[in-house]
Amino acid sequence: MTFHTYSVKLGMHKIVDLASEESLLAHNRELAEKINKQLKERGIRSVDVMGAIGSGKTTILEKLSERLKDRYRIGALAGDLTTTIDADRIGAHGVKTFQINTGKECHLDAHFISHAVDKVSEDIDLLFIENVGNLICPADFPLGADKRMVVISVTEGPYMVKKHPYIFREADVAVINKKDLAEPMQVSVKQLKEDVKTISPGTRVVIMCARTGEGIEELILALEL
Amino acid sequence: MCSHRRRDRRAYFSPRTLGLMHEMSVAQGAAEAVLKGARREGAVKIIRINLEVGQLTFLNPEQVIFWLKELFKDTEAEEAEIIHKIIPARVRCSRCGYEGPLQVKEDPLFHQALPVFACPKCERGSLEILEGRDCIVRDIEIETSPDDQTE
Repeated sequence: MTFHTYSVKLGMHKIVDLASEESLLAHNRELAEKINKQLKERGIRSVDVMGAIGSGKTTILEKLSERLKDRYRIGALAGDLTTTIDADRIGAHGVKTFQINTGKECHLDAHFISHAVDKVSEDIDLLFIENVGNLICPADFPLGADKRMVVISVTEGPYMVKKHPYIFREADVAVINKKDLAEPMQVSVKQLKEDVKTISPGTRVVIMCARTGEGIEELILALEL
Repeated sequence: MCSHRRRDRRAYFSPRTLGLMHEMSVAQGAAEAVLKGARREGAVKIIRINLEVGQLTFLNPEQVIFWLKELFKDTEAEEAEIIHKIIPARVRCSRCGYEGPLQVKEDPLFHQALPVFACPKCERGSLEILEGRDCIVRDIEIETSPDDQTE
């Protein structure tokens, strides 16, 4: 009797298989596919703009908007931690902007976008999604855009590609910006391009000086817009 | 449906759940799977957690484990041992049909070998990723309540 009580109180060890439970990253990918389908059905083309802090994402979007505003009705979702600076700058070019403040998040995820997309007005046919400035976290979270582009610039130094290979795998187009500053920065644009091609041969590389608009036509072609 | 899901996920953890780095978002998903699964099976205590981190995720396993331990404070998993395993990438080439691991390029400048996203066989086709881009809890070892067994 004593023995019996003792063995019961021990409890039992058990292995529980959880492999079929939802993985957060897989869930994000499924949601991204749904968003892409929704946008396509509404006739909206979409570009996810990722890139380093200060690499020129917003300037490139300003230039693209200026150049494309006669051909498309453009909307932009601007992801930013707390401010509306980027949204305001893009909005100044007649683009309909929709601000997403991510709070403390370091990236946008498909869940953020799924709600934001509902708020995007019906009368646009090109949507830019400006991701949070970060070369790490956004790589794991596709948003459902037709094209993903990543922006780096020579002022961030010569190792931006080698140090962040995964985001280049994810990107259809990689922009190397601020080529006019390559010489004073002693950074080789050619080497950066080779780094992208080594890690991800399928990614198209566009070399730009966004401020002057150099390379913008090539970028439009690369994005198939 | 999605917002509902998200709320559910967060319901387990109170104010701490405001996202920080993406390791924490991923840890939240994993922690929820652990606690849900354990509670469903009547666990009083979670002994061991087997975590799998894909080579192609941009996750630092140590950070995921750090957040898991934070999230498990005051739960049945507080004392659980967390073991992680890196799942190597497996890809399929759309052109030549190659299926297997990625080619890795050694660069003496860097401590980490760089994975190359070109087909190791034909070098031209686009690659589909079969494995290595997820972070999941494979299984957990739990201790069930003695009361449950007498029922």
